[in-house]
Amino acid sequence: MKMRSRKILAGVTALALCLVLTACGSSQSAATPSPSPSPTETPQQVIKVGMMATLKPFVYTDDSDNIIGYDIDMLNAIDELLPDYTFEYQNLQFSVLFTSLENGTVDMLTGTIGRNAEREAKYLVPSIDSGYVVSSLVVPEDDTATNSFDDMAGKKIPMDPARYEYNVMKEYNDEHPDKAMVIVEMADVTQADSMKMVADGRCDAALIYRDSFEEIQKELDLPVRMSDVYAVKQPYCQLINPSLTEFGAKYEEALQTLIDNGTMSQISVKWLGYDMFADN
Amino acid sequence: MGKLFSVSYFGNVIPKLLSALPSTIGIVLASLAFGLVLGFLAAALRIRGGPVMSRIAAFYISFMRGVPLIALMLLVYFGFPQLMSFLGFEAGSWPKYPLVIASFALNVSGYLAENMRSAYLSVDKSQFEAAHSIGMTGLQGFVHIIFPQAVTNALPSVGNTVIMLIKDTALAFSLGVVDIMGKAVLINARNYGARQVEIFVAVGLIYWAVCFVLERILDLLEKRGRKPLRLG
Repeated sequence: MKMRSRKILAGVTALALCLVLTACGSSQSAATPSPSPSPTETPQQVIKVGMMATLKPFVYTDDSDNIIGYDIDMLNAIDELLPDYTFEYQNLQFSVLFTSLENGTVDMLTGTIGRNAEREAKYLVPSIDSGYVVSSLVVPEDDTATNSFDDMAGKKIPMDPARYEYNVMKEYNDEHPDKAMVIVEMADVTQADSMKMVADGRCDAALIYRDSFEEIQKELDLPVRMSDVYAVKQPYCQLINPSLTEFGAKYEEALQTLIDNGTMSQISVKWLGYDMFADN
Repeated sequence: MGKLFSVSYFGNVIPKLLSALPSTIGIVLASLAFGLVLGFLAAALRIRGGPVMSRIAAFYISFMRGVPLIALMLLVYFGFPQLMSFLGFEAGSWPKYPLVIASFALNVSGYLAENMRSAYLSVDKSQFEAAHSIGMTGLQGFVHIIFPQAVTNALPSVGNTVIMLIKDTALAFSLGVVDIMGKAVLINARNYGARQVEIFVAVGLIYWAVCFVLERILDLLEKRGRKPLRLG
């Protein structure tokens, strides 16, 4: 009996160790390993980039949990231009994103991060926008009158208060009290859920990324339509640890090169289906 | 209008979610192993630690049970590298998986300590006297008489604690560790949340199935422990 118990205990311990080691290995699979330098090369500085990989098509994961998307192609292209640095990607959730940058757990943040005065005062923010997130109103298909915020007086629209667009809508309401919309605050509401709320009449409109609308409709085929008017065009950027001034300058220079030589336009077309730099 | 609940999507997503099961079970087993050691120490000090150590153990148990798990996770995730930096080690390069396990182990140790303490105290004092009366030492009496009874008494409450731990692992993704819930969030993001209901119904069923298997194992162990010894 004693012998049997020991065998069971040994088996369970071995299984636990295997699982932990397997999981440790897989949890790091998304990280880009830094190549070991040859004796003549200067070792590359690893820049740890934190991101919330749930922002398709900008940053998300493939079936094997590798982080992919517009931002990753952009960062890989920048990486090629900066031989002294190498990027390592870390998937983090929103709750730990900014604190991770502040305490040095990561060196840079990416993923549809909006620019504002507070962030520019606190972090190193490249002066060049690395992309734009364009959203339009989605309304019931028989509502042809609602196309922009100007048509939303007293109408209900769901929005996550953590999103950049929430602040844009609040500012609109403050500036246009006679046309103020009713913002239904919902944490973590997905774009698909927002569209379902419009389809079943719980809300009058939803603010949806233009590149996401068709994808969601392919899956759900809801009785809604997207307005042709751009409601929000959010420029976004990366946030860098303020101590990395030399890296920040080189990063900005590399990003400008990629915009000038058309690489960013190609990446935009690949992931979003249009060139977001065409008008800028 | 598309289907509100797609059975085929539901069927397809289950194997994808199950690919993260080893990660969840790994977190549970490793946290449980460390939690049992910490919990045993805390319970032993609480019972026999003397006036000072007993109070320290009581404070530890109270703190670990009283602090919300997500707060403890953030404390370990951000605090541990700072502590290491303070002690002269490199900060900021600690892998997430061990830090997640450490958070869960600390949290569950508080509950396990109380499970063990109450199980130990539930064994009648006459059992100690009986062990003494047949010439056993204190340690022999504990190992052969008290411990087997305490373990059987502890099984239901330890089972509850482990079930709670299994469900709590869903928070691991807050720090980016991809467990079952993390996998669900990533899959959900890939299609903009269009099939959220199917994904999270599947997640619920997987967690329930894991807990159901554990309940059955604990039932069997409990029945076995309560079987009277056959003499001769």
